[in-house]
Amino acid sequence: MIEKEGTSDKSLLTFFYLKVLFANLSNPMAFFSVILLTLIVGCAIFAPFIAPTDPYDLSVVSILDGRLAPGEEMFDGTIAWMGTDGAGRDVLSAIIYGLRTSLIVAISSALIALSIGIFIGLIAAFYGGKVDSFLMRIVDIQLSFPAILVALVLLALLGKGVDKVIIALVVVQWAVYARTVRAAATVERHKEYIEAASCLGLSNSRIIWKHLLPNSISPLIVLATLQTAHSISIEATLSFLGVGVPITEPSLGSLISNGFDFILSGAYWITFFPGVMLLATVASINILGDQIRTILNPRFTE
Amino acid sequence: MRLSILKAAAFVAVAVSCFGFSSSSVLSDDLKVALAAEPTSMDPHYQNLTINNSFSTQVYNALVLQDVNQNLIPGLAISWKPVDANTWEFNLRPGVQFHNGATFGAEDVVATMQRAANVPNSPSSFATFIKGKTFEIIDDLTLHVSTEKPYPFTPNDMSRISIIDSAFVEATTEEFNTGKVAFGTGPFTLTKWLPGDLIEIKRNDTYWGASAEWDNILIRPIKDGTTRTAALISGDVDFIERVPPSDLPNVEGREGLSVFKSVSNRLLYVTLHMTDDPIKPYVTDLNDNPIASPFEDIRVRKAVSLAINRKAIADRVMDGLAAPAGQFSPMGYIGYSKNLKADGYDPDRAKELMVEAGYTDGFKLTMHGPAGRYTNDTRILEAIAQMLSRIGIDTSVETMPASVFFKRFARGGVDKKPEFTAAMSGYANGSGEPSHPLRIFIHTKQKDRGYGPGNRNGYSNAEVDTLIEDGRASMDVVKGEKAFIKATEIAMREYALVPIHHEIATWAARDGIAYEHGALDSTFLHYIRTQK
Repeated sequence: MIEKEGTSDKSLLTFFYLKVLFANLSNPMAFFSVILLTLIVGCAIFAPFIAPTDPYDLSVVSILDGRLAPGEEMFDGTIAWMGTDGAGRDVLSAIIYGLRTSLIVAISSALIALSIGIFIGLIAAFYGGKVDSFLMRIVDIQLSFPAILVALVLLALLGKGVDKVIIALVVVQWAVYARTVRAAATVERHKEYIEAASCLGLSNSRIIWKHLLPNSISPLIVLATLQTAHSISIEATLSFLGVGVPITEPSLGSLISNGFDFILSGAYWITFFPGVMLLATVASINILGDQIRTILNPRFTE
Repeated sequence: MRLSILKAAAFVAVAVSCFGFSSSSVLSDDLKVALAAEPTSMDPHYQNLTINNSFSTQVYNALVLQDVNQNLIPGLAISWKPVDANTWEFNLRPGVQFHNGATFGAEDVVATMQRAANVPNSPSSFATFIKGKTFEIIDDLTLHVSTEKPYPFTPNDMSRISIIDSAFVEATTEEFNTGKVAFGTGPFTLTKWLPGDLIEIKRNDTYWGASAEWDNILIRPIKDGTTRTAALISGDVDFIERVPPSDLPNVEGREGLSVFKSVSNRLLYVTLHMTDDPIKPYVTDLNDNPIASPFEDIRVRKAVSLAINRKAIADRVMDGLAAPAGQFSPMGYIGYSKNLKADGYDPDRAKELMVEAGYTDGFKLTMHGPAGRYTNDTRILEAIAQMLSRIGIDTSVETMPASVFFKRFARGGVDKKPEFTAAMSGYANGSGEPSHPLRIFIHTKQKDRGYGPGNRNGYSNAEVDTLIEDGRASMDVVKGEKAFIKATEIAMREYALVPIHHEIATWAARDGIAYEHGALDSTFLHYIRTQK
């Protein structure tokens, strides 16, 4: 049971680092990004209570409210602080709800891809040899295709919908995780405590899940954060290209795309505000990810 | 040798950079045009598609041509007349040469008809214009076309088929695409086709008609309307079609650009599946259980029509570039009925009709449509979904690229049947023949007789069928049109389709260029002239 204590110590350590992150946000950029991200996620979670109107309820949205400038009053008396889009949706409400779609897609696809990646990566690292070569070649093939291309083809086949976008994002992302887990786990695989566990006659699955996994997971925390930002961008790109979420339930990407039609005629707000929100979300997640990396990196902890 | 290749490469590089960056305001003898779509093939008989057909008129001629208002005018035939109840005589134009130097004669027409009806893998064949006709060569410049029964539209049908040199009757679509055998008699010759990038055509100096004013025309397909407009504004191109409504004020207000507008015969309509065979997944009760199509009931179809605020769509979505419609033809065109008006917006009556039909709580519907095929198509669908939701039809919208949409629309369902319950699509009468929309969309589907190939919603009315068939059997064009108008009136009052609006077509060009336009929304390059 000694080795078990050792491993839990290490994972405790990881959480300790996270604590350090929030306690010592000496970097003002990082501090700002954490605040911003908290606000964004909060907005997304409490969207129905915050948004002035429900942009997905087609019996409320009216075409007659189309393309109002920021600050103008809609037919039912609500002020559209960020204007309305071509279909008469309040841009502010659409952004708040769109954030929700974007975050749900990004986070759930990151979690699913992470699980698949961890599984494949650990199997490859533990068994090595032919299993390793086989799995890693699949990963190589997968990574040799540009992510956006694979996602486009998949969505062309699957059709539109939030669930389908998630599937596409999982397919393009699992390999990144698998490769990283495998690299970390291969290093751990040859350490004494794994050998010791083997000598004690513990089952392979126990060694993999109870010993190898907790010790290989820290690089993944950084990766998962950065990949979440990445999948928000991919989802936005897909929706911008018109293959992502349905047009009646826009995400940030489809809102930007909607507004693109009007940009030459001066209705900048339909593209501008969702664009700013996309930028803020992706940037704050990236800055947070960088910060975690700095803290988790042993070279910088001193 | 090596040096000359280098030289050639340098020359090409210079030429390319000139093309890419030139924005001189002086008109050269080359015209640069950006179109919204490009032909799917250079084979004029491969696919009966608006863009293919309008491009074909540049390189090829048909026996009969159409002016911008779809009036028939002489082409490779200088005149035509019925010689007996079943036969039309065409007198062919003497002294016409193909681009390869071969002389045109009756034999080329017969060979063309044979090829055009039998192109392998054609997604939509020209056979419909040729089937059932017998071609008889009287002499080199006289041709008889006979049908089994009296048929008044032979000249219209002949305006659809581009005549090729009989030497290439066996040529494949691929050979046409490379330009190797793409020889016609038209005002331009094809010099280059880089699919997705560029089509280049050169003036045919031996053309029998008025020759074009441009040495070369370079055609770039730019699908996105805003990008196309930006290309015109920046001077990359001289002429564009289909200015997006939202960009129109911007283009109109700019110095040095002019806009051309006209009400086109392109109708946008909604089709509602009106039989319960088969039950489709796109209409469900409020608990998501698929139900038989409520649109079987004329009251529900009428409710849909009354719920649609056509004026709001025309004003707010189309920026005024649409005319609300109640039938296939816009006012003043052949087949137009004075008795049919676009339905007014009446959501209260629509709700009553829903209650009368037994749908007090409404139902859920998924509507389908193409994205980017028609002006503002996805936004119109979105607006319609809003309007239907207000009378209790909880509507969601699914759009897809046009190529995917039309395939699924026609045969994406079980047993290759039409897939959708409610779909928005468009129609423009390409042949100018008044019975065409009725025969394609309204007549009961009878595949072997060529009736109802576009009837995807199961509409069927024996009286309407008889009127259409009688009209098509009468060599008396006036009598025929009366029958068609009556059939249109019955079908539209039964909501065989729900018409939305006719598009108002737009083109824009740099000052100094004029474009002669009419009922047709596709672009005919030989009508682009310098302004006198």
